[in-house]
Amino acid sequence: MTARWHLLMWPPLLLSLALLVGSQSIFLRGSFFADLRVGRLGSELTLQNYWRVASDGFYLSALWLTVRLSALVVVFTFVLGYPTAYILARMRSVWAPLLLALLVATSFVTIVIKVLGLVILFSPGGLLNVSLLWLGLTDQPVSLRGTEFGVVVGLMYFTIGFFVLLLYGVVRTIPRSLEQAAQLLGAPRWRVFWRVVVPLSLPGIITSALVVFNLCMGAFTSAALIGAGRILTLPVLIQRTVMLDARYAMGATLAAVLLLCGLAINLISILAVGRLKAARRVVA
Amino acid sequence: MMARALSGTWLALVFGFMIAPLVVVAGASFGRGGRTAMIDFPPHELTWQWYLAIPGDQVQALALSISLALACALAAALLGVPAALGIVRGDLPGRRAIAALFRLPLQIPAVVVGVSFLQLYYIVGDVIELPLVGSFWGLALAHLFIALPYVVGSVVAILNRFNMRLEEAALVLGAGRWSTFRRVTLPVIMPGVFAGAVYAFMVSFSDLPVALFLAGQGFVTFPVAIFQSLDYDFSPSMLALSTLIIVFSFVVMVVVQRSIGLTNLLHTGGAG
Amino acid sequence: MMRRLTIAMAALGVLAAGAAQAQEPRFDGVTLRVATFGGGWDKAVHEFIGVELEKRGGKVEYVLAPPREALAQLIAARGRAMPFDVVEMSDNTWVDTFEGKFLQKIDLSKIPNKKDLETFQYDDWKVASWNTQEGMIYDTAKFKAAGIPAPQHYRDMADPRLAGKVLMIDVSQAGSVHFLVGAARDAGGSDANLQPGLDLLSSIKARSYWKLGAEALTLLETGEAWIATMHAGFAIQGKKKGMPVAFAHPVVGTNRGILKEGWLGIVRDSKVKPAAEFFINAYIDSEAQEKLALKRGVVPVNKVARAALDKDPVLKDTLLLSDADVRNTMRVDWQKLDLDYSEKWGRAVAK
Repeated sequence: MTARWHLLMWPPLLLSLALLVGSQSIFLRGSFFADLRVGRLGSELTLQNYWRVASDGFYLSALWLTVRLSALVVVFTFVLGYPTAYILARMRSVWAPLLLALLVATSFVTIVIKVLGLVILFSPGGLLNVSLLWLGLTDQPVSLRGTEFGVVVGLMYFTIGFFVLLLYGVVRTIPRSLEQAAQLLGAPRWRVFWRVVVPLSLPGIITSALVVFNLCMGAFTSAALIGAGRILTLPVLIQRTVMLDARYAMGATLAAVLLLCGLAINLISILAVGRLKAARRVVA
Repeated sequence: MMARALSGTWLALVFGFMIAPLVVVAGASFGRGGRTAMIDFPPHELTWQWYLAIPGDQVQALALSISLALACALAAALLGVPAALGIVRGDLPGRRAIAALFRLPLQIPAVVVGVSFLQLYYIVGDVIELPLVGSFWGLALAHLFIALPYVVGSVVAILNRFNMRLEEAALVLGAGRWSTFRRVTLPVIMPGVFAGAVYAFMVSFSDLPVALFLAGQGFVTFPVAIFQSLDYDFSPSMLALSTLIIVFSFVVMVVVQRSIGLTNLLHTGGAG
Repeated sequence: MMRRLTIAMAALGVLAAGAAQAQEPRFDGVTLRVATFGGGWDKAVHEFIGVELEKRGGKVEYVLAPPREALAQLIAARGRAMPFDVVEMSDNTWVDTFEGKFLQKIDLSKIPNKKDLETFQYDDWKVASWNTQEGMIYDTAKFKAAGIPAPQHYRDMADPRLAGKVLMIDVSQAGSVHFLVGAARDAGGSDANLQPGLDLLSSIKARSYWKLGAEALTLLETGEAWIATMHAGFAIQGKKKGMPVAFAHPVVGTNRGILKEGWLGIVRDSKVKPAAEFFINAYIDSEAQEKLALKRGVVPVNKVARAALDKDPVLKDTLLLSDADVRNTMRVDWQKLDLDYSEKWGRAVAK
């Protein structure tokens, strides 16, 4: 019976692969030809575009920035989102589903509009900055626009809702009785949380963290609007190369580099998690 | 008691962070906006005028976006659930790599998705007569491409927590395969399907770059309409419409949660 | 005698009818597809221009693709049937659209309204559709309080007192090139040598770079920015809403003010060229230009329409309207322009 489960996977996998390979092979193929602008390609195969990217600190630092910001979003999303999901899942109150719905509803407003709200929130004479200045936490009005922190925050406005909604479901599959048993045995609450709940929800955490990471690697709108032309992530540069310069070969090269780098990070983290689990099993 | 106060404070902080920009948007949507140029917050004088001034074509764009997102979420759920079941239960070697493959579309920058699907549709159009360029279904297919990873990811996450003993028990007790799936498996993975489908909806609903390429004659999605208007033709009616979207999506979320019994069924979920 | 007169009258009548027909072409059953901006621009274009074609039996369909997206659609359709007949181009896309061989020649004799245009506003491949006047919007109250004189050159934004208060245009906006070229020429560079402009870009302590007009005006209003590189239409919007702003037309060598130009072109292989030419001619008609300008904050390319804007004191105060002033503005020479500008911009900002 188990043997046949995999049959279910093939239709969606084949469709997904057809769309992925179909669209990307047409576009990424361009990365192996000289760029003649206006979407035109040279006729001879060449690796010169890749060489240009690999030997240029400008593109490499954009790649590094993209990876770093995506990782930061994952970390912050986890730190803010996981306890939230846990608290909501364990809440014995009619408020829990309402709060969950509210959190998700915030994601429905496009970042294009949220940016306007953020501009007002962080205006120099606004409540937030006035109180920060008064508390002496800063000596200059804080702004999110044009800062790496701002881009991370902008991305989190999308990722937290997803993360919390999913982990809420995961935590609720962990029977409360397990925690109660551990507590009865005298373990303090935070220890139960850390040693029982977190490990049991780890597969869910890892899967959703990877979804969040991949999503950030390709994110454009938030980086462009809140990054405000200063935070040049690879998707922003790809957008410029393709749209402003109509240099498709170069854009394709950057997209291929981003894709490969993301895939590599995914596979490495899967391997690392596998190792970690194996090690645990040995310890146990 | 202390734990309770602590969790209360924590929730207040996180929700404050998430909601703050939207409070500004909602507040300014009631502002007259006369004295100030763009956004009147806190509003100096309350008014409904912007709610009455929401332009018809933005409502039309909104309706189009909603049907597009619904089609996308439905298709993503129908494809994503079997995919996740196959990945987790199929036990094929390299299934983690297959899961990573399903996630790949997420990190393709939207502009690349837009350009490459446009090219793909033209090439497909050379071979067979399929009106994909500039059509609703062409855009829906591209949205499905970027939305499917959410459903696969979230159902995999839930399935990983769920062992098959319940199902086996059901089968042993004589339930058919389909009824086992419907009565035992589906309720358990429902939170994952729900989370995935909601975000599949969201991806389609909030997409700007892909729709810029694939939208065609006379049909415009909501984010495109908003984005293009924000460039020159700003009006607080956009804030009003966004506020309505928050309220409406909140209500829909609550209703859906109730109707699929998300909160009740979870208690029984996969006691493993 | 009588009879002869009747014949003559009849002949005249036929002639007159023929002449009327020559002036009033019909486009029954013709559909013209126009790639244009969204966000209400398309509605305005239809209201003032598209209806003229409809009155004559034709139909206009609008593909809402701003110039960059329109170019991407043309590129994807290369070698196949093109997705539209008339394309709206910003000046920074027309070179690509032209070089990509996506345009066909316009029969200028079919565009009689060109009489109201300056000679640099049309050629065989394109006809100007609208202008904006690029420059600097600044907060007069903040400038006065800080004792900073009104800006004249782009380089005035490098004033140390303005550090962190400058809101620069983002390179993804068409007007970024006009800033670069203006700053470069003013400092001895040229359209091909943008280095002095890029140097200025890195030395101005910009707060950030704006992408959405509404957002930029909000930043000016909250005081986060004191000065922004934007076009004059935004200054008019701000002034009319009571913001304490003024607009400075940058001085570039002997020129004053910078023109950003929108263009119309006919897409190669278009089967409805006469309708396309009729549409373009209607677009630059003085009445249509005036209405479009008042509704959308652009500057007419038609001199009659431009002169008519004089009646509005805010417009008169903010825009360069006289023919002499418009001729003295700086215009980018796109065929000489260093086309790697966006990458160089990125590097200058990253510094």
